[in-house]
Amino acid sequence: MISEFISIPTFIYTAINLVILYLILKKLLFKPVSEFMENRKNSIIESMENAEREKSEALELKDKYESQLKEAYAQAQKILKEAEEKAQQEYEKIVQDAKNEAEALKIKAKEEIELEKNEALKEIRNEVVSLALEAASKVLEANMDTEENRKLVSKFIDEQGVA
Amino acid sequence: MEGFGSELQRLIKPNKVFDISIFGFDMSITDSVVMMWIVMAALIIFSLVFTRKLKTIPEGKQNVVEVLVEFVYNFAKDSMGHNGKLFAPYIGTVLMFLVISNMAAVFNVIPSSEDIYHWTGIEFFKDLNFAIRPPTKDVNVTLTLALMSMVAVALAGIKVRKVSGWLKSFIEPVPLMLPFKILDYVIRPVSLCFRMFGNVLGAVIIMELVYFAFPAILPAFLSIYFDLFDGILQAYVFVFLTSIYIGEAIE
Repeated sequence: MISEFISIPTFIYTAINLVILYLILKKLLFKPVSEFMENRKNSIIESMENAEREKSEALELKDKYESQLKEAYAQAQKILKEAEEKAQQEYEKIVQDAKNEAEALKIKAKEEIELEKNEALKEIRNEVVSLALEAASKVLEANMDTEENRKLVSKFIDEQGVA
Repeated sequence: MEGFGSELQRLIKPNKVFDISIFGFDMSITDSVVMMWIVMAALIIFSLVFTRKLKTIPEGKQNVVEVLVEFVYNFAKDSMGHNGKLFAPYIGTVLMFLVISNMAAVFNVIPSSEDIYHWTGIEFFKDLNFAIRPPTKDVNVTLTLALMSMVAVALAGIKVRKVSGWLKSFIEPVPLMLPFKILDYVIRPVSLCFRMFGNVLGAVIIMELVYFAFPAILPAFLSIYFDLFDGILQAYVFVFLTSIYIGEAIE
């Protein structure tokens, strides 16, 4: 009775079929697709790692450039400040020099004026002495213009403090 | 009812499609084997068509195979651990074969060879004895599948623990366990085989009865449950248990 339902050939064929199907599907379907997916996964991981690394590198470079920029700015600021200070010093020095020179010129001019004035006064005095003596000569009708009288008149004028 | 009785007989017994004898042994090909060939052809064509020109960015049919393969590999990894990857192709093959086989009853609208003979009178179909039925309704097929799963379990155990370690696993933790462990190896394939066989044959018989009583509309709804849902569920259960057994063996 049971032997009616059992078929040894079916048993053998099924086993053979299944092994063949396993080998074929493994070769055609499971191996290529899983390998393909594995490769893709790996390449995605790799590219993501690359991107991450490049990003961190870029950030590093950015930090570096930023600090360099800051340094350069500070340097520029320093140079500017120094230049300003130097210019100020130069300016002050020039002004000082000019002042000094002007002062010197002024003093010299004053001296010259004094000299000129003294000269002029001397001349005037001599003229006055001469005039006085001439006037006196005319009044006295005698020549009063002697060395003696000239000294006398000069002394008189000095005493009067005309100069 | 006479016709239905013989129909049931035909459903349960293996039907010889081609009589072949090799070295005097009867090596006749039964309808289950022919159905297996059809299922195999379908699966091979599927693999050929769907794995052509794999692209990095999947589109269309490539998504289908990727989802399928990923499901099988994840399934294997979940139930068998890291070594499960080795057995994923086997598990996937059995799963796909069983799913398609169990669903074959959906195509029972395709006339059987007997019907074709009645309609056309071509002699070739007279004794062909072939109809589209799930090959898994044949206990021979399910028994082979279950035995092969057990062979896979044994191979997995030997591969991971070496022969001595595998033999030792029979007397662990105490030698007293030996008969039970051997029973375990016998009972597992038998339970796997008869669960599948009983479910599929039961579904086929019920559907046959329903077709007999209500030829239209109702069978369509019942077919969704008995042919599609139950078929896929039984395929999943079979594969799930097999993978658990393999997982235990390689633990």
